[in-house]
Amino acid sequence: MPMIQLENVCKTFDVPQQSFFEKKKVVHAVNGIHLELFEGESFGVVGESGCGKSTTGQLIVRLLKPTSGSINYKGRDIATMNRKEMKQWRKEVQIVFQDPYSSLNPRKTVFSIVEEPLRIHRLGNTEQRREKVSRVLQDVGIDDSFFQRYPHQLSGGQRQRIAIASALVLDPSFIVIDEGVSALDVSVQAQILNVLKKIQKQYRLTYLFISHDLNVIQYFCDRIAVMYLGEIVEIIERQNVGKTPVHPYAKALFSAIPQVDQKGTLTLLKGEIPSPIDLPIGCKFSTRCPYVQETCLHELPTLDQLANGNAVRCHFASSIQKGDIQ
Amino acid sequence: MTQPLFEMIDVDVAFHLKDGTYKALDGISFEIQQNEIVGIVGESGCGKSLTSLTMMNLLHRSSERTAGKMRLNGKVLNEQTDWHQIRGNEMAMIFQEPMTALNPLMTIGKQMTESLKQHTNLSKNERKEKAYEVMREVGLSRVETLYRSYPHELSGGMRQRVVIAMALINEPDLIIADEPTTALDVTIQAQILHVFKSVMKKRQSSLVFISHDLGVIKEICDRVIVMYAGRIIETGAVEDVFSHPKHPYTKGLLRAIPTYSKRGYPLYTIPGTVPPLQERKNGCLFVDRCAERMPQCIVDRPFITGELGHYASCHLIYEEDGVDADDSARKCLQNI
Amino acid sequence: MRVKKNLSLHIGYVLVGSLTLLMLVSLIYTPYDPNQMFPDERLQGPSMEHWMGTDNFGRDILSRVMEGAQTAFLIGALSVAIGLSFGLLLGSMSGYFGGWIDELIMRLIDAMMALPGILFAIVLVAVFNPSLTITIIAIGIMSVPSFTRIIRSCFVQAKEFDYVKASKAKGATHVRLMYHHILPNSLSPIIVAITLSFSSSVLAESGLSYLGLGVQPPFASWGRMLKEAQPFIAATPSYIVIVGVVITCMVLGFNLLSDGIRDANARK
Repeated sequence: MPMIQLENVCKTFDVPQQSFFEKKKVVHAVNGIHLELFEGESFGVVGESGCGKSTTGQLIVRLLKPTSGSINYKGRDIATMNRKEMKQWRKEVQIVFQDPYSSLNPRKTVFSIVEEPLRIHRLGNTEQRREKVSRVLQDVGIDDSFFQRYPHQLSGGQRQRIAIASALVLDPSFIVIDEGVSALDVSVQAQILNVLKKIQKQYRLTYLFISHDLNVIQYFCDRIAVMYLGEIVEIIERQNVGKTPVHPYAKALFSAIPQVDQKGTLTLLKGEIPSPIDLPIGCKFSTRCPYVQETCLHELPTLDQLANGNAVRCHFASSIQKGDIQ
Repeated sequence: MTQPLFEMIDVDVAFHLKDGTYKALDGISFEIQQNEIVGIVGESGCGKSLTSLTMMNLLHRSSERTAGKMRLNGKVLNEQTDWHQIRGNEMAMIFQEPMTALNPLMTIGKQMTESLKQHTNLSKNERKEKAYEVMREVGLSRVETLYRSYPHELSGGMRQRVVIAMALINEPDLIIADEPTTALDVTIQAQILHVFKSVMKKRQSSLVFISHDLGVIKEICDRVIVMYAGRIIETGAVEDVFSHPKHPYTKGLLRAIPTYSKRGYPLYTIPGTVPPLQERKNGCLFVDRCAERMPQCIVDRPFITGELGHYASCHLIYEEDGVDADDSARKCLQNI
Repeated sequence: MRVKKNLSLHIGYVLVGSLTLLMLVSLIYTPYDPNQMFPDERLQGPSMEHWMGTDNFGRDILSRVMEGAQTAFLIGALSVAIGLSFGLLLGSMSGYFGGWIDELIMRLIDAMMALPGILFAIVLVAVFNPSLTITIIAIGIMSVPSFTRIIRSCFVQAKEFDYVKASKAKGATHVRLMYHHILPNSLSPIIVAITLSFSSSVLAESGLSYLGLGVQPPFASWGRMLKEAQPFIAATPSYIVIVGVVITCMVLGFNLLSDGIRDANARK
């Protein structure tokens, strides 16, 4: 059974009206997502800004409520949970944010930041809490001498470790990492990625790893979903990570990452991402797709599994894969 | 040897802080040849942006160039130089954030032709034609409409193209781009890098490209300068530096980048952090984090040394190559 | 907070500090009984016996100014407390929850702001007879809208911070998010609002008392003293000038203080 299952999840946001007579507009942030996450894996979500990857992460931890569709955690729909179940569930599911400068309350000490979740859930007495905080901080590589420091006294990497510790302190089984290493320098990023790998083993964690950095995603994740305009366009299965994806957008995206250790062939896309307010009819990528056909402009392709295991949302996936279309 | 387009010789930049004055740039020397794309790479706080500001004489009040020389086309640049004549005309700068680089209350056309107005005697129509031409060159279409529009009507990628076009319009010899693609998405970044490459090639002009992203630097640059804690620690042709890095810091950085090929292994990490401004001593500044440190690293500052255009400032290189330090330093200085 | 070069903060401190001192001293000592009349020494200018002179009943002005300071501070503090507590309640709910709650509260505030404050106070006083309590309540209610708006904007901004979201994802309750995470990080604009509101309360009280609707005798009030001094402006100009200067110092002091605090925080 999948640990987390998203079924046809949609999320729209209202655009503030400019004038009284204007027609009401909505941003389609997430548009009918199906996703299954299994225990113990690192699932990557990648895409460019505005593709809905962060919204997806916040929907899963229920910082946002879906407009339609359901999200199941271990077979249980989280929308139907009562208060008590919700509180229990909040312990198991955590989120770590991108910006280490805004993810910590500037007026609290390191100790009270990491201890807070325990207080919220009324776990342990003072002594036990202290011990737990100390142990978790040690696991992320911060020693007790940092207890009384404030976030502004710490470096970016240290802050991110603290943010991870405060997510770990409740012994969760699932963590969403929303661009968790994107704001860091390369050398610090490597440290944090190593910490995340280490604690994954130690705490038996499942990750949803959201990033725009394909290098990080390809290094870190077991399976990868590529998103474009609120939709998943390709799910890359374990055995295909590191190989060229099939969907034309995913292809272009992967070819556009600057590599340090190899030289690839770059596919330049024309134009830019359409506005999520007026979505293109038919395939969302049809406005930029180099392989675009008549059908693409009218019909929305479905996410279908190919022979190699990947699920791809493209009318011509198999022909592209075989190289029939140039 | 032909005269380089731009030279920076032993430049120091000091920061005046509350508790004293500190060197934020320490003995920076490099040159940029005609028709060359040079990358400056390093982590935050290494002084790469400060270098670009120094080149344009745009330092903040609290900082000051305390030593060294700069030359553009053989002309010495100092306080007496008419910088208004140079900025935007001979050297142009492109900043990171395309959002704030454009004035939201002025049309694109007006902003683009502003520097033409200042530096040339072209008529209004000629300026307009010129702007159209440059906008097409950077891959913008429907330029007539664009000319009359305001920045908020443009997408991020288009704005950055406009900013590039603005920098190009006076046909400067040298363009300095400070993290011009960092705020952009990868597919847009690829487009912009492509624009840079093709335009530079066509115009035979030079570009200094500052980035923290080693991949981007590799993609676009001919030569790279690696900076660490306000000093240049390695420089050379991109292929050389990336395939045979000499300095332990460069080696570490390259090993720390996550890629598919490193899957399943922990990434190499450089222990510790960059020494803060106040704690920068005389020896090698990387010594506390270096896995290959030697006793002399603590006291002696390594000279930048090497051959075939690939130099690094590390004591290890003398050891390996058996080069006489003084001799090699002398050779280096001659090269500069 | 850096105080260096922050002149407004310094002057504000000095003015507010000396007036506070004056008020504190008056609690235990005034040169004369503020209500004691010296019929032979009416409307005198400043002298060695009476540093600020005497009023039309021959009362010592310094003593009355000192007692008036008590009234001013009392009204300032209590009306700010009323304004702040309602503002905090309404503003935090409005900013944090948004949606129809926000809409409802903001329309309420709009309605309050549509009514001129002083008019509202006059109506209130007319209904319930003038007294110290009514004055405090009237001025307090007058300051609710500005507090609500400031606190609301702080909350709207702060609730989007990642640490608030992160804490929410860990199961923190609304009350915890509002008062452990958002409020402590919104303190500086609130402190600025408090000092500003203090000075406008003092001014409002003076205004009301001047109209005869404020604090009633025997309490000394600067506003009423101003009114009493008015007929003698030609005979003893020092009386009205002194009272005017005292009120100005108070208002200016708090305004400068709030400016100074804002600058100090901005520069941080």
